[in-house]
Amino acid sequence: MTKAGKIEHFLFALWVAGLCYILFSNFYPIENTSFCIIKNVTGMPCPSCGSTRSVLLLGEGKFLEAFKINPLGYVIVFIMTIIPATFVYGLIKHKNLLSEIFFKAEKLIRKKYIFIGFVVLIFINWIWNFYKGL
Amino acid sequence: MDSQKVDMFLISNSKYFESHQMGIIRERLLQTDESKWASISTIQFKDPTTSLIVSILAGGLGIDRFLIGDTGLGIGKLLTCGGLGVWTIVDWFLIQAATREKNLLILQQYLY
Repeated sequence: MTKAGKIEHFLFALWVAGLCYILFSNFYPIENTSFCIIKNVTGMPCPSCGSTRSVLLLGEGKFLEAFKINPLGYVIVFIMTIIPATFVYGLIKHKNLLSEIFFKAEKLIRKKYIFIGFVVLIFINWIWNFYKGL
Repeated sequence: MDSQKVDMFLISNSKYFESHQMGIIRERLLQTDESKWASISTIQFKDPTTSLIVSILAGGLGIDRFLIGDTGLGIGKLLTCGGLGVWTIVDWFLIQAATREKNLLILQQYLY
């Protein structure tokens, strides 16, 4: 399989796993479970702590609360819609559209200032997580 | 390139590549001309041991993937808390091989 094909399959599998996880968290919520290795070992939150709750709140239409719990929920919802849309569209058009977009996004974020900006934002989000006591 | 230089390169850089790729690398290096030697001998490869250590210590944040240049996968790992822990553990085993594959890609860029 070509590299593009592998990436497509991997991203789609990741999407399916993510969808199952979100649906599971929505219909069978369990108190205080976290799959985060950092949280379980050190008790400290990681930058994406609360992102599941954020996504679920977005599903209920509570946009402000979702942002307050963890803004990354927006990013996750965005990615979770882009992946199946481009994957299916790519299948219809017989092109590896998903992997094209993936590689273009990689190139974009590798640019120095974008990458540094990204790291700074993630860091700020992480510190905010500490403040919120997640 | 003459075989002495090629063998010297292979010996000093053996840990950066997968063992089953060494034969192919040797062939390609022998075919490449001398002018590329200067640039090839100065390539900085990524150390698989370093990426393994980073993976164990900070794998949950995807830093190991960022280190080897897999920016997209690094972000995915970061956003999903290390793939709910599963990806973090899987990468402990995969990251050294992934680093070596990336090193081969880096070398191939210089050979063309």
